[in-house]
Amino acid sequence: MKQLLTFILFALLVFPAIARQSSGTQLRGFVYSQEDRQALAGAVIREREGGKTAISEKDGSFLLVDIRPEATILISFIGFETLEITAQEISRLKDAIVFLKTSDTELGQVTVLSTGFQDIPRERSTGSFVAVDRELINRKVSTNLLDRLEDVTPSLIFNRGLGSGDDPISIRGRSTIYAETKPLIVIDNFPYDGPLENINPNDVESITVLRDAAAASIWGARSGNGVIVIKTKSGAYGSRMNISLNANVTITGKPDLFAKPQMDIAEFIDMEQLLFNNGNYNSRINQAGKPPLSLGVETMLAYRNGQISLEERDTQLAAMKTYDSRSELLNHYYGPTKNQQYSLNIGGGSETHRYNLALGGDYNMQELPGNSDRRITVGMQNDWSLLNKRLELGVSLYLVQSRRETGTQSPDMGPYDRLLDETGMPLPVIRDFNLRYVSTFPELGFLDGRFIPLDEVGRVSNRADQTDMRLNTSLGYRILPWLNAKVLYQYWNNLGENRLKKPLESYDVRWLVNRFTQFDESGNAFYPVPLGGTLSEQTSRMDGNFLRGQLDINPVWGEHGEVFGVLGAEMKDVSMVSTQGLFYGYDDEYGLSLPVDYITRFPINPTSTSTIPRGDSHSGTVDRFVSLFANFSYTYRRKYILTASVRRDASNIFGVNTNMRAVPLWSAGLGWVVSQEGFYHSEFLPFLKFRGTFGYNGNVDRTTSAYTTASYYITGSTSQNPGERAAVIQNPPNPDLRWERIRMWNGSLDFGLKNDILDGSLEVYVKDGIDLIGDYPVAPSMGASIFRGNFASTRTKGLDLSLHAAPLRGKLRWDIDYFHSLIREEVTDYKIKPNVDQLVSDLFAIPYPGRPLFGLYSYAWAGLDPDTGDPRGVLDGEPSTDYLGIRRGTTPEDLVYHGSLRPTSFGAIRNTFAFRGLGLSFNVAYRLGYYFRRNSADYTDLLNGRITHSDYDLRWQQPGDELRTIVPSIPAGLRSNANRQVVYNLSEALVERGDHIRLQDIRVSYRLDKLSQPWLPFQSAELYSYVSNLGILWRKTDQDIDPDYQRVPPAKSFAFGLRIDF
Amino acid sequence: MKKSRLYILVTTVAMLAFSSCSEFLDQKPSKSIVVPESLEDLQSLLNTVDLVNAGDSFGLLLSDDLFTTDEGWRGFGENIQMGYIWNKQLSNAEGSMPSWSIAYSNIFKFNVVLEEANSIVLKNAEEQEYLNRIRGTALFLRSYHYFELLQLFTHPILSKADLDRAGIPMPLVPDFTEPLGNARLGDVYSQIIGDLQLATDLLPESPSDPLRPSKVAGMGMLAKVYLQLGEYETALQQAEQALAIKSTLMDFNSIPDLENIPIPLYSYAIPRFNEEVVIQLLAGSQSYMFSELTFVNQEVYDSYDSTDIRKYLFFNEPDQEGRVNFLGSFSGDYLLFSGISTGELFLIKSECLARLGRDSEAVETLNTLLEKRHYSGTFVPLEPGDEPVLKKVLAERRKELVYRGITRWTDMRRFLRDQEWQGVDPRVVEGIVYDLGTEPEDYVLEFPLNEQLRNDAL
Repeated sequence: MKQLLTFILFALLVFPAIARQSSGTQLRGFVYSQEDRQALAGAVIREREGGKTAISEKDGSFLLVDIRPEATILISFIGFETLEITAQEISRLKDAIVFLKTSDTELGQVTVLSTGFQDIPRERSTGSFVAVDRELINRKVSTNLLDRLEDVTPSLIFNRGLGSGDDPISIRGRSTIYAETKPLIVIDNFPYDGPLENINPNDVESITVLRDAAAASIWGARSGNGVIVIKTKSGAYGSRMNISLNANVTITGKPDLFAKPQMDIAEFIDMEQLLFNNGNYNSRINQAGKPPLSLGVETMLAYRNGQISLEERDTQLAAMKTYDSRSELLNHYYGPTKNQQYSLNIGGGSETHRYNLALGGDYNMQELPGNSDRRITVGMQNDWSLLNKRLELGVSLYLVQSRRETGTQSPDMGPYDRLLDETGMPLPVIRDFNLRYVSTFPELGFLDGRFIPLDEVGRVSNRADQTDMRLNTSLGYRILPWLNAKVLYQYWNNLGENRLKKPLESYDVRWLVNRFTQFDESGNAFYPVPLGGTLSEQTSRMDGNFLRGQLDINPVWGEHGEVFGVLGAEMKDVSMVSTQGLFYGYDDEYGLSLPVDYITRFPINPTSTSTIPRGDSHSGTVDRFVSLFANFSYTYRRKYILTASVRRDASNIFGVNTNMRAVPLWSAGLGWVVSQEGFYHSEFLPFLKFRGTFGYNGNVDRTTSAYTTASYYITGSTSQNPGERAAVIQNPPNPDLRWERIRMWNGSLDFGLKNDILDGSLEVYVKDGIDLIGDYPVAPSMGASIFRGNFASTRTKGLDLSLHAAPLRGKLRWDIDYFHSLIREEVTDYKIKPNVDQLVSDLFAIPYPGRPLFGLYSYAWAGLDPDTGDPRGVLDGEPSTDYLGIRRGTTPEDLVYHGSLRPTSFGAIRNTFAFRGLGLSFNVAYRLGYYFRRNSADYTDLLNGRITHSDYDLRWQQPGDELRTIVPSIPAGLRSNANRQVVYNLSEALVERGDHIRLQDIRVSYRLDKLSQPWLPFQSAELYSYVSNLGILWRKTDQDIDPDYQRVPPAKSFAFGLRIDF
Repeated sequence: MKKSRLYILVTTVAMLAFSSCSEFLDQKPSKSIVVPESLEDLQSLLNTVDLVNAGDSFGLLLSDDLFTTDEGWRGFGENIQMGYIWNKQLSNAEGSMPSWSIAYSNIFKFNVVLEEANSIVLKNAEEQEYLNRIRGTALFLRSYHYFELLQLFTHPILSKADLDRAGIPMPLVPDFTEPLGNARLGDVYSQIIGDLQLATDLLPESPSDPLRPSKVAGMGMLAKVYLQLGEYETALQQAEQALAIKSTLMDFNSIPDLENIPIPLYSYAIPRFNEEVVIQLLAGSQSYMFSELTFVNQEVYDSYDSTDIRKYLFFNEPDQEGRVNFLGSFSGDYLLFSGISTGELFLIKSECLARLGRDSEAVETLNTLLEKRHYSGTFVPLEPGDEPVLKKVLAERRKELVYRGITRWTDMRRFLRDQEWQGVDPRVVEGIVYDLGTEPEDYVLEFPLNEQLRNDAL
């Protein structure tokens, strides 16, 4: 049925031959700025007598119907003088273009803000919005849309560091612990639950970030982390066809594997020798599981067993000391990343129809050989305006097809492993078993057990295909001049298929076959895991149905007041099913697989027993919402603005108890345009506006419930009872469970200086997270060590300043865009005191009263012991080397608190220069007021045979060294001592300030247009180059570390592109 | 006209919002997540056999069933090293101890099952039987875990007075609001005994497979508990009742792997799910159990007669120093069996008889077992002779139940009651001598650190 509907609507798209409505007396025209001859979008065109109103489109066009020729038309736009003109006069103008003069008294840019429910001119808003326009979106070059918001959006930060996997971006900090941490993404009026990689940035017209309660609470229970509203491009009524083409290529260098400091390899091998002589490897040498040992240790063992001479051993070890697996990987494995991006956009419209067609293609070659991804996007948008503009009908379709191939893995290599030998032959590296065992495989009758990274390249294919489709339809009818009814519907479908194909030659399959190989009495091998490939296939399907009915109200109320409003209801139903299957003995050529025995427990090689692993699973989720919403604004004399919004969400995920499902959330706001007051006469500051809002947003935790819940699974192959249905407790009972709310105050000041030299806004806010849900440690005798419930409240205070200055406006134009965001986060209430281990973990949001959710804590440091070089902590106020005692005796109060793990202020300054067609812009971003813990020599790693940090060179070696170093000595007797290491690793000695300034990117462009070069066969063309990740300009720490990327910093990337508008 | 159109629209929007809203929202959010309510759900909770049938992992380390070399000891994790030298606080770096936290997380599951079982509406007699089995299983396993916790963390019962000592927290319902303080030790034992009696009534005589408890398992467990309390008559009674239902013994002469001796390392001769297994429970797995440098107590190994088949099936070939690793787990693989076998029931019966002065019956019982353990035709039945029978029984118990998880540790604790008990040999690590001692306090571990820190009710 859905397919049929899709087909019909698709047919409608293809044949946009809808009968044109014969209009009475239409008034059609364009609004342009006189100064720079640019089209003005959002100008208000009003018939004085009848009150008929239109708002100009992107290309400046407007259309009024049923207008007498002598009617007076008022055309107004913020920052311009209102123009009075008759309809007749407009039609007589050349091309019907009306030019508006900039006004000295009315300043401030008009930006149309989109909430996903309605578009509001900024002048009518009280809430906190950030608008990112197309130009800014296009400034960067990237495959991913969200990347383009980085360092250009006040309040929005990209989190880095250990604990940031869960919340890659946050808007105005984080006011949740365990619930959803990501902002809500809205695309073309509806929330988007699919992967964001599916959105082609070239298709996007504008992005609006909703930051406060007044802006976001219309999104209710999902708005707590802020909302990012994305609008894709659409055509314009009555505009000519506009074709735009964009192509670019980006080259990113290989990852800098040497960025992570590492001890000298020769010294490491010497250490291995020392450990070997000390017997540290003995238990591993003989273990039944045949655990891997490094090449060096194997060589030492061969000598000890008399298999090689002392000379041979030393020659081999000396050779190893010259190898470095990082150079091997860079020279023979990694390549640069190459991204290509193409997009074509065709848009236009007649008086009753507008359309837009967007095509996009991305092809990215990844740094690992054979890995790539590609994306093809198609967007089609059609709108019809019928019955004298009373009926609006819209149909649009977006299709994304993407394919990602990630079959090649980065091999895990020892520090001096090599990929190739001297003759250029690929070499094996050590993996699951030690070399002695692997070398016996031929005689044991097993398949080759060697792992040769270069031979593995291209063997395994791991292909993820995805098709994403969004179909939007809308029907609007203007019932009364002030009342418009709309029904919007979206069908969303996302099909994913992931095929992981491993042929028999691949290491993983050989390993698995060998594990299960059995021998009968006469020594003949048989293979419970068949001699063939494996295929693991996962398919998923997501379906979303969204239906919204809404009434838009915009009456003129009284002589000077205006009410704009929207109210309605919506339903959402998103379901996901996924199935996974694993097939053995798979032959890709014929598409055949073989059955295996999942029941028998086989003895496996070299030790233990197991049944053959199964890879079948099924899962499904359903996410449903029913919501009511309303949002109103009242403007009086364009001076006073009052806004209010309310929303009630009910959902199937809010626990099992019906009366706990619904969450009502509301907000209210006030605005005062001081500069419109009669008493206000500032020449210097011609525009001044105050805004203030208050309200609640909500946040959802899908996994928690008031009742005990359990989740089902089928017991695995190594289980005592394989293949049986079993359930584990997911959630212990919590009758007191409440849902998270975020209460927010926002106050702001918008201003504009004379002649637009400087304008900007300053916002201050207070954001209270109430009843935040989190995991907290409990006495294990209760049945779990961790319990999830409402257990903390937070308060975030902040300030966002954004400024735009235009110091030069002549032939050389200079624009400065600056923003600065300041955040003070603090936990105000908590239920359970966190323990020391949690506080020093740096990984999670940990509530501790008076401190931010992400704080950096460390053990007190008392320097190195002058006699032994042992690290000293503090126990009972005294320097101590009783490490276990320190770990047990240290209380959270004893820990040293340094400050926030996340920047407490950040911002960016962007300078843009334009001279004739030449453009130059560069963005300098900074992050301040935070701390990070640097890595150092780790003897637990080293003494267990893993290479460690180059701080090893700085270690204490003899008395007196404690004056010059903080790096401890090698533990006595080469015995690793985990607590000793922890007390050092997590000590205050290794904490550094993270503050730094970074030259984020530079963009250079050259633009040609027909106005200046009439010979051009197109309207305009822009040639651009974009360079990013240029490095750190300043950092507070004296360590040569990138505070945000301690492991592998992002490589520099260079992009070149061309954009042509025909 | 206009007004009516508006009216229709508003009504439509409103209907859209409210109509059948609650049904629409009753959809369960995820296929795999349930609120456990049905018999099937409760059974599924108990089907997590790898978790619920797995017990303590420290008892073996604390017992004198094993020893290791200095080198082996250095390979142990820190908390295992501390356990080997009989430190009383054995939390790991995170402050937790699996023997405690895993037992209590299992107990929580059983409490969920037992509470939900109360509200199940039964449709027919078969469901009644199903429910009985579920309840019996939960009660049995909860008792088993409580029993093991008592053996590690509470004072041994040497006299009635010890029952008044502090026990452990004893949650019996799935409540998560407050941690509980210590229950009286006697009350925990009473709860265990009452629950096991109830479980024995509810459980079937023969289980569907040896991973599920049965009446025999219930009685066997009761026998173990009474033995621990020194109530030999009751213990005897329970052991006899259990043996009346199931007394099958394997003849070790017919074990196929007997042809393959010496048993190579990492092979296991005793078949999985063999006919002696009353209930298969496993000791929690720790790497010290499987290290090649962890050896079986030399005295025990040396005490097997050369005609005793166990000497060849339970162990690998002795190394140059005569040391052996253990390969004789009744689980059939490397995981250590800590459940109940008919052999143990015979031994409990025999010991109780001996302690009650019924020597000839004791010897007769013992002979029944030993005959199956020796090469055919070589076994000379024991006679109640010069040697005290009890000593003989205990020596045989040692040989049959070596490496049975926590079993030897529990024996070491109860032997504190016996006059002639001299304690176990001290351990020497890196030249330092550690002595466990013979004071009952020496046999009690401290609660894990995380429990001490987070439980204000203690």
